[in-house]
Amino acid sequence: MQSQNRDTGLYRLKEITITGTRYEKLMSSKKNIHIDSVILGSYSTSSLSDLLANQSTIHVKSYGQGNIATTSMRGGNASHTAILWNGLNIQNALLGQMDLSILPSMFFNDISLEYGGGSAAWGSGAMGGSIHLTNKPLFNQGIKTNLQTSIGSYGTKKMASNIILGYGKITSNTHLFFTQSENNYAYKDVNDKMYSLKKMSHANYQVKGLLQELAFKLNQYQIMNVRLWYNESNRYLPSFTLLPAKQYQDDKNLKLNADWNYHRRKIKTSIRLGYFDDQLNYTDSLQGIYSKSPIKTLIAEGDLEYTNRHQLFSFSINGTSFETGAYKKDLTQEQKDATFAHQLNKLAFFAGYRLSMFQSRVTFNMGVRKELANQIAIPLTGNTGILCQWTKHVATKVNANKSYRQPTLNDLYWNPGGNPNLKSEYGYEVDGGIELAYQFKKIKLLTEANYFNRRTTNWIIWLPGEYSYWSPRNVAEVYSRGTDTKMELSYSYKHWLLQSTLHTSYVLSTNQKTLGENDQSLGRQLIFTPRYNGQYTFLIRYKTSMILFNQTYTGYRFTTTDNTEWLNPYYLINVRCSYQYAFKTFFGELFCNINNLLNSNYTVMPNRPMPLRNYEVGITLKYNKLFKKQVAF
Amino acid sequence: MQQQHVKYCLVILVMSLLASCVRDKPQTPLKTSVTINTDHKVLITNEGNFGWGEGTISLYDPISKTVVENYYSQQNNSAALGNICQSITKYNNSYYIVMNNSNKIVVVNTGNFIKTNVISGFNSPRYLLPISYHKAYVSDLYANSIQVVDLNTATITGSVACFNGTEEMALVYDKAFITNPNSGYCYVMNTSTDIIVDSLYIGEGVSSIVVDRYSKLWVLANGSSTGNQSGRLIRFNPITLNIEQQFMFTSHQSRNKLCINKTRDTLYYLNNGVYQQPIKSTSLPVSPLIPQGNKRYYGLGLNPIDYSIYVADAIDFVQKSKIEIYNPNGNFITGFNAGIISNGFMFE
Repeated sequence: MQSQNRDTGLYRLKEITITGTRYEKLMSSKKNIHIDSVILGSYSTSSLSDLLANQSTIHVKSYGQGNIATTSMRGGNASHTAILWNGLNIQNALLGQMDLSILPSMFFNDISLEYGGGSAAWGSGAMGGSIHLTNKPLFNQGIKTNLQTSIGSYGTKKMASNIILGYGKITSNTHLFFTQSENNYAYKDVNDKMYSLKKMSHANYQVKGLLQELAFKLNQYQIMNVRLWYNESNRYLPSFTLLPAKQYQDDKNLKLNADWNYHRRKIKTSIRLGYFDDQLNYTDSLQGIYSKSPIKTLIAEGDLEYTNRHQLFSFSINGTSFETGAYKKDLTQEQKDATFAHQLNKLAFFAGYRLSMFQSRVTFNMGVRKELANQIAIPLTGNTGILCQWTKHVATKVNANKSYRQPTLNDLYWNPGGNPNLKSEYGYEVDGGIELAYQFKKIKLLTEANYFNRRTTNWIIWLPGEYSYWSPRNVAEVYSRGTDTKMELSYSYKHWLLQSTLHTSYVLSTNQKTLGENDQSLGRQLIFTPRYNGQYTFLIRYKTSMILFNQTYTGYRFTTTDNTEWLNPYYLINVRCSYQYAFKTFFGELFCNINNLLNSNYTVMPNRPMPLRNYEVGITLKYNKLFKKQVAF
Repeated sequence: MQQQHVKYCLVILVMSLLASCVRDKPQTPLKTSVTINTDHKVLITNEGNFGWGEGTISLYDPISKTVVENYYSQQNNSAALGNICQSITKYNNSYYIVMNNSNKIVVVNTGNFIKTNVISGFNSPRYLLPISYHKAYVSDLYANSIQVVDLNTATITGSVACFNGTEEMALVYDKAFITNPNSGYCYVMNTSTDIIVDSLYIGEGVSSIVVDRYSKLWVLANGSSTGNQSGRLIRFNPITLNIEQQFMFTSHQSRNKLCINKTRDTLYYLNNGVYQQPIKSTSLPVSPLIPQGNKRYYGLGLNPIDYSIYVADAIDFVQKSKIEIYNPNGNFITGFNAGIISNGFMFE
């Protein structure tokens, strides 16, 4: 339980504890939300998209239960959120986005959300924010097993298990995930007044995944991690309301990651390697589309950090290579176009500096990143900020950054229409915030409010061009600004824990450039970008019983750039109850979820109905045993 | 002292947060009661966004200059028409509205626009060509065939194998001429036997076809970058299938929406602007009648009553199109907004 570990006086946001990542100390002036471990545990049978939709103010654009879900953070689109797995960007460079509905939340023991541009640290795509998915190695855990299984409405069956074996210098952590659903949920068709209650068809899905981690403590200064993650999903994609559908999507993702970390006195160094093989096969037999989108990514990264009493210097180099299709060096342009064989290589240099002053009350940080690429020009990016701890209750943060997003490989090379002359999108952002922390006996109050302001230029949109082919161009300019707030109140006394968390987000993200004299979109909100978003969680725990009461509100989203058409807001309540019983080293937990308690009829995306009230019941079996002989360093 | 300091901070914080907020509920446009002059009206097909938007029909009265948006919905108890409203054809007191991505044709009564039937079972229908009182052909973007429809029973009664990707069609001398941009051919169908009897190679991207006053056929091909072919405008004889006139375009611009005026002696088409070309002309026009400027013309129509030219600017394809009306000399008269991605007009 994270909230119990906080010290009583000065409260600081927990720093991102990404294993071996050098940036954590260079980002302290930014807003960061850490998903509480109790909350994370409650979503272990869920996808990352469900977790984020319910537990953050990130707008998750879901096309239906089990269907594709992408993000919008701080007024950006799906490709403006970087998804980082142990510090490596896993965003699909071909599509420029990541489908969060097939990522199991229980694969990560640490999830945090970084708000605002962070390209200096994370490279392309970190404009609206970044989602950090981390596997922290756990040593000397003995045997820890956690097997969870549940059944739910619409023929949904889920299984999630986690087995940790840790002895001395070596630890193994195995995660297994399986979910399957008929997904024939009932929804109300607002367009059909006579037969309004209908059943979703052609929407069944299956997701399975395995993540195997091995961590080695080579000696007291060195840790090595090796991870293998394989994820596969097979989905029937429903057509929008009522239409016959023949669309299928199969995703196969293999991700390998190894890192070596050395930390001795003032020197810290690490090397990270990543290899990702992502395949997305989309079939539409009605339209004769059999599309395969394979992409391989190779990342090698090394960094060096020197810390003395007040200062920190950090340097790193990152080499990334993306390869699509059957890429070979000697292909002609025609062959490349025909097989979509393209390679994008990037080399990035990062330098960072931090200075702590006045007994660490003031921290200044800065970072700068220069990237070179073989196909595209990438702007110089940077980040700087100051964190001031005025009193033990009040802290302020100010941050400024320049961030970018590279065009996707589809933007560059899609045949016909791809535009190899595209430039990267880039944006300047400033943000500032205030944090207030109090404690009155057993009650803790934590408030945080941030304001941000970002202008993005070269924003890519697709329009018909030569021979009527749709083609991307750097034509739009977007001004995004708004506030994010967080208020957390917790009370713990003896066996009781009460915790209330409210997050809000208010985002104005408007188009600043017209495409022509008839264009009515100037100054209008971007489509599918809610202005208001709120999330409230109330948790009551007594001994081993727990009730989690979760509410989310999503405001109007426009569906046209002139803001003349829109989708209605939705307000959802989800409730989760659980009870745990212990028999020595065995634990059994029963849990029950009621989703959409108010039976709201809603859509996140147009013509993509979401399920009405639905249920999930399940059981968790845990077995924990420490080995008698612990190995100390 | 410290507590005070914090309180001020809080107050400033809350105030600054509230001050910047805007009202979330969008303003619903005021509905004005519209009386449509039924003698003279313009129906506009608006595709809507592929996959998620609603295709709609706008109704415009050129006399009162009023517009009814989403006319079908208004007349049919708020029902939605479907996705991608591709074309509308009037025949036998019915309008046949081809809903491309909803795989159906919605049949409505010409008088009150109320749905009378739905023809379903298509793959990706594009245009309907009435052949006889009961029979029509429907072209299709993905099916390897032309569908034969019985208009009386509103059912598909057969299909004629054809290279996939058929577009606009024309009927002349009891033969149906079917364009196919993928193959570059214009196919000739015997309408009594429903058999493709001949074909003529036009060029890649051929998709629009009109019949002139001498019953000659004009076809417009867009060209393609993949086939490295330029666009062309061709006149051919429907009986001999001889190409009588051929104009080649040099630029890579997109050109489409070939239309012909009421007297069938002047062609109009889009080519980054509206071009006007008399059928007697021996060369391509040098400059457009209506330059496109920074707009994105997507739909074109010629009003047979007053010879005015209707052009649809789709702008960014995610907002209401702007319909511009020009006189026959290319001078702007007026404009109004229709639905999303307006692609065509029907004048009555």
